[in-house]
Formats: sequence, structure tokens, C-alpha cells
Amino acid sequence: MAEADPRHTHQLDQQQEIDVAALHEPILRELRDPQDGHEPIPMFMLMLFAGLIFWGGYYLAAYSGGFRSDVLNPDPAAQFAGGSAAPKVVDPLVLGEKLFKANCVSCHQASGQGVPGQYPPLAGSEWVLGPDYRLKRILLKGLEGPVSVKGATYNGNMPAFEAKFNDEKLAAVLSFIRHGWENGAPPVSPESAAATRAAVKDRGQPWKAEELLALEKDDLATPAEGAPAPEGAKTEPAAKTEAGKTP
Amino acid sequence: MNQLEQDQGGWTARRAEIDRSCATPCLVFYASSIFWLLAGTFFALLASVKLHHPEFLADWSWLTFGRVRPAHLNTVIYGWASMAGIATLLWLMCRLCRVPLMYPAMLVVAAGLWNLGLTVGTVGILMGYSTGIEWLEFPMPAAFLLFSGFAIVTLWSVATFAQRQAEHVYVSQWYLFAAVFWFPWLYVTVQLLLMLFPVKGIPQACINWWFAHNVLGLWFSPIGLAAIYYLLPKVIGRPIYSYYLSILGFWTLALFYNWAGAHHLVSGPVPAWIVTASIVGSVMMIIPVVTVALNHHMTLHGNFRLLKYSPTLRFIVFGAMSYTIVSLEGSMMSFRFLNEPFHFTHRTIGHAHLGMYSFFTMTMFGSMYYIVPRLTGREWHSARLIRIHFWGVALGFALMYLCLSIGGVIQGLELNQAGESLEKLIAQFGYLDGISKFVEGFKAQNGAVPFLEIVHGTLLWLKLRTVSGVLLLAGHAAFAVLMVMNVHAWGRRHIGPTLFHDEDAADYDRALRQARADLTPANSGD
Ligand code: HEM
Ligand code: HEM
Repeated sequence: MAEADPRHTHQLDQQQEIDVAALHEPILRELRDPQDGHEPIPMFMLMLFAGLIFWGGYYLAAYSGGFRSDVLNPDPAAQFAGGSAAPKVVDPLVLGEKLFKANCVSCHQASGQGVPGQYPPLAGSEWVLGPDYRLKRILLKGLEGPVSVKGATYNGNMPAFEAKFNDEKLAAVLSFIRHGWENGAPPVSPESAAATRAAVKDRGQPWKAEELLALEKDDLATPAEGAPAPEGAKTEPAAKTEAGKTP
Repeated sequence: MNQLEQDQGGWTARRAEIDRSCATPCLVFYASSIFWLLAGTFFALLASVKLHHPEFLADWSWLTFGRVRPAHLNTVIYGWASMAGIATLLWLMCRLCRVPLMYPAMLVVAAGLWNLGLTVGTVGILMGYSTGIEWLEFPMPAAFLLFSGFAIVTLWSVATFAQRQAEHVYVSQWYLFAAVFWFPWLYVTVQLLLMLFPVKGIPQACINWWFAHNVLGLWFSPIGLAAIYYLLPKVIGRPIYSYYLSILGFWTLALFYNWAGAHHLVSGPVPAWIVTASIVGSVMMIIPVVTVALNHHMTLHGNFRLLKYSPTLRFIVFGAMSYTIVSLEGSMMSFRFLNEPFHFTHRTIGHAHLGMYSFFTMTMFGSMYYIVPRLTGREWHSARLIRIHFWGVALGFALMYLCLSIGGVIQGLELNQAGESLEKLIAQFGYLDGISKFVEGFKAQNGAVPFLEIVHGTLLWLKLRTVSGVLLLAGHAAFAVLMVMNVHAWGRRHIGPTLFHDEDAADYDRALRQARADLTPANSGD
């Protein structure tokens, strides 16, 4: 059939001047095209493969880390040891700085100097450096009406952060502004923030400056009188709420 | 019987026609591949020297290690290996489908696009425009050119397969036809997800290594295996051992290989299950590998003396055996306890060359020894050059593998001084006393080998690797000369097949006849 192919003979003609036999020598001596034998697959191989597949299933189940995207250690022992991870420790100053940058800089500025005539400074401010019970209250409920800071009077609206910041965040951002810009005042603990929050929880209004100035101490009327003295309390940055979120 | 008659009559003439139709495109691809092999060898030697003499040519930014290494990788992978692979694929497809090569001009265009892409890409890398993603360092325009070239090859393969005259679809054909789809699928996916719409974070690494691993197993391996499946029975004139093994080997490769990519990311910040799945996939690869190895071994069984004579057979069998070894080695390397100590060492590079060189490159050399004389109608001109080629690359490779493996294992044990995962291994196989003493020796130095000393310790092995590279270069040069002589018909015309030794022709004939003595006319078919 192939000999009848016109293309074939035509091409042979073209080559006629060369020694055709020699030209095709490699092709002529070639052995037959590969054929398939039909020997059966040896039994031992099938058994070996069955064993491999069995092992594969076991291994996958044992070292898959429950097919979770957040498990990187395949060791089953580590996996079932139970949440041994120590609670995450967060530096309150780092957290505070982050919160300050996200929530406060637009008015009080990164330099802590505020904007003259509009927003009071925090750096060197007697409100920030003074007793922290006023500060906590301002942050929780906001401040309204005229207030005098470092000899200048401001008349604006400081918003309330009661709903936005939990106790840890409240403490962190206050500790940060009391520490930053060489303010050097002692930190505020989450516990004391919690106590004040509980004490003022029923108030709906922002504070007036006079009200706060009239306050002589951290008046924790609702809980007991003997709440821990905030000034002395060292900050324990046990970030309970943060850690509680991640398993 | 009908089939047999056809074989005896028209098929030989038809074969001549097919081979002549293949000549231009296949030779263009083969010649280009040899050019890139030499370029790649040049970059390889530069990179190798720089690893022990970093000041060598260090003042010229074009030839700094960080550019020469990817230039080596990409020229040998996309230039040498892929182009030699495509030429072999074209010829095998035509032979297996029993149709003359169609649209030869289109394929020459494909070779042109591919060469252009390689040139743009390699120069791009040397100029500093590497993408920085391993195995995909070519900048975008080069990738586009490569893809366009390959699209032609895929379309051509579909057209050829659709026109096939053969009733039976032989196993080589399965691998080839799968490979022409697998490669573009891999390449397009990875270009889309890493270059055009890059994913972020961990998935990036996963996709990168899914590609880099599959390009080995679903592009190079199928072509290498197809060539072995065709040429091994062809040269010795015996049928392949078992059709059933062929089926099992092909489908299990297709099933398992794709899972294995993440074994390149063992101990990386990748979810545990992804790595575990890849380890299972890697170990399951034992199934196709052992199957194929048995099939090839039993086909040749009892006729190993033929290796003494036939260059094609010796290169092909070298490649086939290396395929088994590299794959079993790879399955072991994917385990965490071995990967952790040896991942960042020269051991990995040893494995890489066992695969890409000892398996794939040797298989391609063997294929070219068979195919090129049929394309040009001329035998190889010099048995001596063939001997230089074989011994240069065989010894060169053996030396390279040995020094990378020994040097790499020492380096890994030292780097891993704490030896934690290795400790587990020793605990499990404690009775392997010799090994545990060896490892104990390293652990005794716990923390005591400073990093710089470890680096100094590798220098001897790296220098030896450069020596091996010179041997390889000598082999490649001999082969390049053979090719040029063959294509240009330089020198004396050789009569009869060119064996390793000219005086062996009669022995070879006798051995071949013996090898086929037990075949009945029905299955010998000549
Ligand atoms: C079933 C078979 C195989 C398995 C399970 C396997 C396994 C592996 C593993 C685990 C690595 C990573 C080593 C590391 O970085 O720590 C690796 C690297 C490599 N393998 Fe294989 N291998 C197999 C077959 C092959 C074959 C057939 C080839 C060549 C055609 C090959 C070529 C390579 C190359 C080039 C690398 C280095 C990749 C790089 O880091 O750039 N392997 N292989
Ligand atoms: C001429 C002899 C050769 C020499 C001296 C050589 C040397 C080298 C060197 C120095 C590297 C870099 C290793 C490192 O970064 O630590 C390398 C990488 C590589 N070479 Fe070669 N090479 C040669 C031939 C080849 C050939 C012919 C192929 C394949 C067809 C090949 C495939 C590779 C691959 C895939 C890598 C990357 C390995 C990895 O990423 O882990 N080499 N080679």
C-alpha cells in the first residue's frame, strides 16, 4: 500500500543519483517496531503495591495535622498534647502606640503636641501626667466644653472610647501617652481600667472639665472602696482577651 | 498475519519516507539543543568554579553566581533537555502514528520561537532581569515566546495523532501524548498564578514547586520513558515484556506524580497535611517506578552483552537504570527525617543531576544515536568520538554524583549538629551500628563545628565537581563534533552501524541473532 503513495516514489526519484541502498541502510537493517508481550504482573509486586497503598493511607491519616491550615507540625504527639502554648504576652506600650496611631493621632498628632487652638497637647499636659482617674474617665466617656491645658483653653469634643477599647486596650493606650514624649508618668493597669469602667458604666454624658477637677480620687463607688490603688499597680500585660481569641 | 505482511512489505519503505519527512524539523531541534547544551555546560562550569573560587570573574555583574546559576538551569532545562525532547517526540510520534511529519514549516517556526525565547530569557537573566522564581527565572517576554512555540508542538501532536495509521497505540505514544498536554497546562498555570496574577504568601511557594516538580515528572520523565520504551525493544528486536505492566506504570505515574511537588517544601511554613500528602505521593511513586523498571529489565533480560556494542542501547540502559535509582532515592529524600538534614546541601544537587543528567540527558544521547542517522541517512563517522563521549560523560557523571553525595551528606550532618531528626532515625534503626557510630561522631561535635569550617569542608568536593564538569564538557564536545560531521557529511562514510568498536560488527550481529533466537516468526516480524 505504501509503495503506491505518489509522494513516496517521487521523493525516491529525487534521490536517485545517490546510492539509495546506502542512504537507507540504517532504515533497512532496522528491526521490527516494538511489540507488546503479555506476561502477567507478578504476584509479589501486587502484594508490595497493596502494602504501599495501605501504608500511604495510614501515614496520611497519622501525619496530616487534622488537615488544618494552621497546623505546621505533623507530629501527632505535639498535636494532641493540648493547648500548651503559653498565653501570648503583648507589650502594652507597643499595643498602646498602635492604638494611638490608629485612633488619636489625627487630633493630638504623632508629636503629642495637638493643634494650637483646636486640639490640646498630650505631651507635658497636666491632665496626662496627673492622677490617672481623670484620664481613664475622659477616655471612657469623652470630654466636652472648655478645658484648660498648659495654660491655653480649648473648646472641643473629645469622643468616647468606652465601646471601642476593652480594658487591656484602654490601659495600653493610656500607659503609652503617659510614658511617651518624655511624660514619664506611671502606667495604667487593665485591672484599674476595669474598675473605673464598672464605676462609671451608668453615665451617658461626656464629662465636663470642672466635674473631673472636682474629683479628688478614683471614686469607685459601685465596686468596693478597697479597689487596688492604680498608681502603685505594676502593669501585668497578661493579654487575656487577646490570647483567648486564638486557640 | 495481515499486519505482518504489511510490515514486511510497505512499512520499511514507509519508514524511510517518514524519516525523511522528519529530517528538517527534528534536525533543527536537535542542533539547537546541542548548542544550548554547550552553552549550559559553559554556565555550569562557571557556576561550579565560582563555588570554590568566588573571586573568579566576580567583578563583571553579568557573570556573577546569582545570574550564572539560573542561566545554567534554564539553558539546560528549556534549551538542551526540552529541545532534544521535542525532537525525539516528533520523530517518535510520526513513527508510532505511521504518518509522515505534517506541517514541517510550522515546526521550524516553533523551533525559532523557542530559540528566540531562550535567547531573550538567558540574556535577560544575565542582565539581571531574572524573575527570581526558581525554574521560572526567564522574564515574561521569554516565557511568552516559549509558550507560543510549544502551543504549535501541542497542536501538531493532536493533528498527527488524529491522522494516525497505526491500529495499536503503543505505550510510548501514551506518554508522549500526555506530555504534550501536561507541559502547557503546567506552564500556563504557573505563569498565570505567579507572574500575571501573582498569589500571595505560602501558596506562591506551593505553586512554584508544584510546577518545578511536575515539569520533571510530567514533561521530561514521560519523554525519556517513551524513548526507552521504543528504543529498547527496537534495538534488540524483542517485544516489550508486558503490556499489563506498561498500563500499570503509565496510569500510576499519572495518578501519583502530581501530588509530590510539596516535598520540596518539607519543614517550610506549609500546612502539615500538604507536605504529608506529597510524601505519600512520593512514596507511591515506587509503584510506577518499580513497574517500569521490571518491564524494561525483563525485556533486556539475558541480553546484557549487547550493551558492549551498541551506543544507543548503552546510553538508553544507563538512562533507564538511573531513572529507577533517582526515583527510589527521591522517594526516600522526601521523608522529613532525611530531608531536614540534607535539604540545604549539595546532596540535593547530586539528586538533581542523577535525574536530569544520568536519566534524561543520557536517554536523549541514546535516542540521538539512533534517530539522527535515520534523519540524515548517514552513519556516525567515528567510533572513537563515540567512546570519548560515553566515557567522558559516564565517568564525569559518576564523579559528580559521588562528590556531591559524599560532600553533601557530611555537610548536612555537620549543619544539623543537633541531629534531632536523624536521632529519631537512629533510634528506629539502632541496630545499624556502623551508621549510628558515624553519626555519633558528628553529634559528639555538637555545636562545635563553626559554620565557616563546614563551608571549608565542602571545598574539596566542589573542586572535584569542577573536574567532573571538565570531563562532561569533553564528552559534550565530542558529541557536538559527531553531530556536525554527520549533518555536514564530513569525513569518511561509515559502512554499517557505528558501534563502540568497529571490529565488533560481526560479534554484534551474532549477539543480536542469538538474542532473537527464541522468537517465532509471528512475534519477530522481520
Ligand atoms: C518518584 C520519583 C522522585 C521523587 C520522589 C523525587 C524526590 C525529590 C525530592 C524530595 C527532592 C527535593 C530535595 C530537597 O530539596 O531537599 C527532589 C529534587 C529534585 N529532583 Fe527528584 N525525585 C524523583 C524523581 C526525579 C526525576 C525522575 C528527576 C529528573 C528527571 C528528578 C529531578 C530532581 C531535581 C532536578 C531536583 C532539584 C530541584 C531543585 O531544587 O531545583 N527527580 N526530588
Ligand atoms: C556539564 C556539566 C555540568 C555541571 C558542571 C553542572 C553544574 C551545576 C552547578 C554548579 C549547579 C548549581 C548548584 C548549586 O547552586 O549549588 C547546577 C545546577 C543544576 N544543574 Fe547542572 N551541571 C552540569 C550539567 C547539567 C546538565 C546537562 C543538566 C540537565 C540536563 C543539569 C541540570 C541542573 C539542574 C536541574 C540544576 C539545578 C539544581 C537545583 O536547583 O537544585 N546540569 N549544575
